[in-house]
Amino acid sequence: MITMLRIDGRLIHGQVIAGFSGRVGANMIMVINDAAAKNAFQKNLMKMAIPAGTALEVLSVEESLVKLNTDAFLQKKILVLVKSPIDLVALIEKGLVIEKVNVGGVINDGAKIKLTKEVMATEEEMVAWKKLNELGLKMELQWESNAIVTDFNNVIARS
Amino acid sequence: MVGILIVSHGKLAEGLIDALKMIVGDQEAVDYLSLNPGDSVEALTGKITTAVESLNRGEGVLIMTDLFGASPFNASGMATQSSNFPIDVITGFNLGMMIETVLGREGKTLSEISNLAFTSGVSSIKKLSDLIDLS
Repeated sequence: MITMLRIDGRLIHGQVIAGFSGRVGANMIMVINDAAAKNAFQKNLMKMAIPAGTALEVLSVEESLVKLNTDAFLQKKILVLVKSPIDLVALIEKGLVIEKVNVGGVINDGAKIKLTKEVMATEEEMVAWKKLNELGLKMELQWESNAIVTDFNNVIARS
Repeated sequence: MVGILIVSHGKLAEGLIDALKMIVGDQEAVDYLSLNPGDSVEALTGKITTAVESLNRGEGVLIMTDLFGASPFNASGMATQSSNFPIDVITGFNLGMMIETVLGREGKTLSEISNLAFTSGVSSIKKLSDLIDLS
């Protein structure tokens, strides 16, 4: 089952991910990203950077929805990483049930709309953020695992 | 001559080049790039790709980054996939490593330079208390 779902434009980012993974006691990190799932080299880079003893899965949106519902994966404690709110909207629309999301540094290519110091959005990402807010998903902005938490629903509601 | 590109968070790379110049002066085929707040990893990967192309003198480029697993390292790794000349990436740079590597490039291959950077980087870290009695 998912113990934490984090949106981070950098996906696996060395020490930041180690901090969150330790805090939530994850024994698996699952990166859900269609492009990374097809890129063997990027997968190898990710594998090098995760904490020892943690399993890694790099899956497309479609693959992740299937695997998350298998017995083997329901027994794991999974830290899920997605790159953009657009991917999370897609996951939810395809049936993922989630109540809370942790938001990290989200500055993806072409992002021009500044939401906070840590988060900038493209037009499409802005639509997705608003959609996540409307769905009632609780969104907490936290740069790294020891940083203070900012109410990201408020940030989106105000922008 | 193997080109050298330093990539870091913020101004660390710029500062490292500044310190390097104080010690060994201006050097050929050495440049730096910074990841700044608001930069995407994709944009940094693009900048690295352009920079290594202009640094390549035919023998390839060694990229030195500040932190394993972080964006400068990850973007450098991704950039190795889009070039048609050899690139290696070393992470955890320090000034001792930089000096030995920059000065040791003449007539060396990328793999020799990459090994030199690694061994000199590790051997340049020392504890004074291991060398002399401080009590």
